[in-house]
Amino acid sequence: MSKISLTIDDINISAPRGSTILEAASLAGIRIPTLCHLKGQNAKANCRICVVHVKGMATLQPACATKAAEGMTVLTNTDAIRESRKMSLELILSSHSWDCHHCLRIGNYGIEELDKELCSFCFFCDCVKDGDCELQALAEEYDIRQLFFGWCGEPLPLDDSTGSVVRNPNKCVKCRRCIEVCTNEQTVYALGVEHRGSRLQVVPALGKSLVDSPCVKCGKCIDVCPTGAIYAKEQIDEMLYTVRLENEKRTVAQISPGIRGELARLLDMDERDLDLKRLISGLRKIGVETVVSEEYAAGAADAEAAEKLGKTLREKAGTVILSNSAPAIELINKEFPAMEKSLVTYPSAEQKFGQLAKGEWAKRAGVRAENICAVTLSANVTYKAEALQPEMRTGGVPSVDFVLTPQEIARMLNKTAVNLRKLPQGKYDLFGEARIPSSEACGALLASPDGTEGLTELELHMDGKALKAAVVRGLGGVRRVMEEIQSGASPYQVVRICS
Amino acid sequence: MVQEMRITLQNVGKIDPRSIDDYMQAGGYQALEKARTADPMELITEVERSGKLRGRGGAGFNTGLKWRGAAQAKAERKYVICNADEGEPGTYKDRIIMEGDPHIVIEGMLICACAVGAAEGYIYCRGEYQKANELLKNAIRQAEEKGLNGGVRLQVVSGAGSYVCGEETALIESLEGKRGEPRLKPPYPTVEGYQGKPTVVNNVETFAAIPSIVEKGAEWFQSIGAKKYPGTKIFTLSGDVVNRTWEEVPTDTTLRDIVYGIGGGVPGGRRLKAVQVGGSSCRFITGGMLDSAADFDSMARLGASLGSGSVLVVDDSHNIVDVLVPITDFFAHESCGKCVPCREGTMRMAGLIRDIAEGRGDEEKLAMIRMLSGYMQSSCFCPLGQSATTAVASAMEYFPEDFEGKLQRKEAAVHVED
Repeated sequence: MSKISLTIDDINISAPRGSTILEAASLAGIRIPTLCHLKGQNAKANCRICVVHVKGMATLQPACATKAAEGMTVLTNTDAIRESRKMSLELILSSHSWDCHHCLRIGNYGIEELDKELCSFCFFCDCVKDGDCELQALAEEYDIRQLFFGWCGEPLPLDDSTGSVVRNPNKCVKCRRCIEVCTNEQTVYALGVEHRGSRLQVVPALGKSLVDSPCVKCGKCIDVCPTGAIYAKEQIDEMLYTVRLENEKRTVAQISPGIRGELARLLDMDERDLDLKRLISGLRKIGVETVVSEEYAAGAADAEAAEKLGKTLREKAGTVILSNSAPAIELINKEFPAMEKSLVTYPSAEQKFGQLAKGEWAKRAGVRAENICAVTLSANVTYKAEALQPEMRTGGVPSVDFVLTPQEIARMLNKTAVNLRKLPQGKYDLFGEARIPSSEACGALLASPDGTEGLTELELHMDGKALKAAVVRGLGGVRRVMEEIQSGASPYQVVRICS
Repeated sequence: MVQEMRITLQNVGKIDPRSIDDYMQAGGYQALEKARTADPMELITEVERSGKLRGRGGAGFNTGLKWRGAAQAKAERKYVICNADEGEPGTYKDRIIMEGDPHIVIEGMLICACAVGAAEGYIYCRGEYQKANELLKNAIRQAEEKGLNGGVRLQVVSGAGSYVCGEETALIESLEGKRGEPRLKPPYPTVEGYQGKPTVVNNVETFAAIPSIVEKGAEWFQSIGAKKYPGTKIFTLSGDVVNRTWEEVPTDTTLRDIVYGIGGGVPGGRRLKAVQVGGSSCRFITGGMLDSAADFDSMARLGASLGSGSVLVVDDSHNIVDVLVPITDFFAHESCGKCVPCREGTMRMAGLIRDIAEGRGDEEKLAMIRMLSGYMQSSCFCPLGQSATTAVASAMEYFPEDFEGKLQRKEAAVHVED
C-alpha cells in the first residue's frame, strides 16, 4: 500500500494513502477527541468535536472525515480548536438531560477520578451509565463548568415500549451511531431522524414508539450509544426485591462466561483478574441460593437443536433455517413471513435454563414453578426481550424472570457493596446429574459465536450425507441470506442465523 | 444610466412560455443543434473559454470546469441536474426565467447532457413554484414530441420546502428520496453525484446562459461585463426601494446603478442605510460602497458577495437589529439539524438577536453573539451554517450604534452615508 507523508502538530507522519487525519494522528500517538465517530462506521462528522486546522483551509475540518493528503500540515490542539470543541460541548449539554448537570463528575475539576461506587450512593440522576459516558468524559476534559447559553432542554418522555431496549431522548446527542448500526449493519431500519434544526430528534421509524417500529430488539444500538440515551431496561431493583423480600421464592441464577470482558471493563479490572467464581460468592451474598454455569443448559439446548434439525431434514426439502436468536427470528417473522415454514427454532441457553429450573429441577427440589425466580447473567441483551415473549413459559409462569447485563451486574455489585476483588471463589451448583453432550454432527454449526460477523461456510454430516451449511452472524448478513433463499439462489441446505 | 442586457431573459415577456413554436421562432434550439454536431470536448472548451461562465447560483464555480470533470469521469451513467430550488430570501430570478421562458433552461440542460454524455436529467424545482413546475413539464413534453431531446430523459422533481436542498449535495440526497442533508465533500458530484454517478449540478440562470454562448461564441460572451466574471446577471430588488423589480445587466454594472437606476432609489424621502446583496447568507454593505461593480470578484473585494444577485435595500427608518430578527429566525428554521454548531447555534443566535431587538440585551449577549458567530463560521458542516451569521457579523461591524441603541432601549439609531 502506498504511503503519504504529512505533518500533524509538528510531527512528520507517514500514513497509508486513504487514511483520515484521525487515523494518521493516532499512528503518531496523537489523540484527537471524538464523539459521533465510531470505528467501523461511515464518517458522520456531525458532532464537530474532532475539528482540526488544516493549513490553507478557511474553516476547521473534521478529522474523522477528512482524508490526510501528501504534504498536509495539520494542527490538532490550538486555542481556537479547543474553543470550538468546548463550544460544541456546551451547546450539546445546554439542551441535554437536566439530571446530567447535577452530576458531580461534570464541572468539578479535580475529582474526575471519582470512584464508580459513588454513583450507587448518589441520587442526583437516573442514568445507567455510572460514569461510563463519552459526553461526560469530554465535558470533564474540556472543563465545562457552567452553561454559557443557559439550559433549554425540554423534557421528552422515555420510550420503554419494548420492555428491553429503552430510549431516553433527553440524553441523545444526535450523533446517529444508532441509526448507522441499525440501518447499515443490521438492515433493520428501525431508527431515523425527524424534524430539523434544534427540533431534530432521533426517533423510531415514522415517529412511532420502538415496539411499533421494525425494531427486533437486537440491542446493537445500545452497544454504540455514547451516552445513556439507549440502554437495556434495568431489572436490578425488582430482582433484589424478589431475592431479599419474597421469602417463599427460591432464586436460581445462571452465569454466562460471555459477561467477563465487559464486566471487567466496567469494574475497572483486567479481564484476566476477573474470576467469575468470585461472582458466585457475590450472588450468594446478595441472597441467590443456587448458582449454575451455562454449560448444562447450553448442552441441552444444542441437543434439542440437533434432534429437531435431524427430524426436519429427513421430512422436508429445501433450505432449513435454524435459529435460537430472538431478533433473527423476529426479523424473519416480520419481513420474510413466507420463510417461517422453513424455520426450525430451538431454545437459547437462557431459555433452556429457565425451562429446566422451573421444570425438572423444581420437581426434584419439590418447589412449585411460580416459587422459583430464574435469573440469567448474560452479555446478550436480546435475552431480555426473549424472556418477555408470551410463549416463553414453563409451568404457567415466564421461564426466565430476570436477565442481567454486565452493566446491571456491575451496578448491582456497587449498590450492594459487593467487591469481587475481595470475595473468595464460590462453587457452581450442579444442575443435572449428567451433562448432555452436544451432538457431534452439529457441533460446528451450533458453536457459540466467536465474534466473527458475516457468513461462515461448513459441511455437515448427517445420516451418511454431506450437507452444505452456513452460519450467518449479524442481521445484515441474515437479510442477504434470506433474500437468496427466497429467490432460490442459496447453495445451502442448512443455515443457522444469529443476530 | 443603467444599460440592461438580456441574455438569459432574452425571450421573457416576448414569447408565450407554453409555446415551443414561439421559442423556436425566436431562434430557440438552434444552439442545441449546433452543439450536437460539435465535438463534446470542443464544446466544453468553448464554455470554459467563454470567459469562464461562472455558476450563477452563488458559488461562482467555473461551469466549463465542472462539465469537464463530469465528461472525463468514467461511468456507464451520468446525470445533469438543474438546481431550481430557489430558496434564498429575496431571490426570484430563476422563477422569472422558468415562468417566462422554460425552454431556454431545457435547451441549456440538453446541451450540457450532450457535452458530458448524460442520458438523464432532473430539474429540482422549488415546491412553491407550481407555475414553473407545470411550465417546465410542458416544455419537456413539447421538446420530446419534436424529438429535440435526442433520447435524453428529463424530469421535473418538486422540492418539499427546504432551504438546505439548494446546496447541491443535499439536493442530490433529496432527489434520491432521502432526507435533505448535505453530504461530505469530497467526493464532489462531478465524481460521485446522483446515485453515486458523475453529475453536473447547475443553477437555472447558468443553464439559461448556455444556448447564447454556444450560438454566439466565447469571444462574444467574454466581451460583456466584468473581465473575470463576464456576461450578465439578473438582480432582484426588494425592501425599501421605489421599484421592487428585476433586471438583467452586464456584470460590471455598479451597485449604485442597480439600486438607483433600476430600483429608483429609496422611497418616501428616506435615506439609504444598508444593502444586502446575495440573500440572507450574505453581508450588509453600506451606502459608501455602492460605487463598486456588482460582479463576483468586486463584491468579494468588499468582503461581501454577489450570491444569488438579490438586492435587499434597507432605509434609515430601521434599526439593523430588527432587520436581523427575521434573518436569524430563517436560519434557525432552515437548519437541517445535522451538525451541532448549526443545529444549536442557529437557534441560540435567533434567540439572542430577538432578545436584543426586544430590549432584553446586554453587553454579555453581544459578546455571546460575537463568539457564536465566529464559531459557526469555522465549525459548521456546510455553507448554510457557515454563512448563517454572516449578516449578523457585518451588521455588528457597520452599525454598532444600532446595537448600542437597542441596549439603551433607544429607537432606531441613525447611520447614513451616501
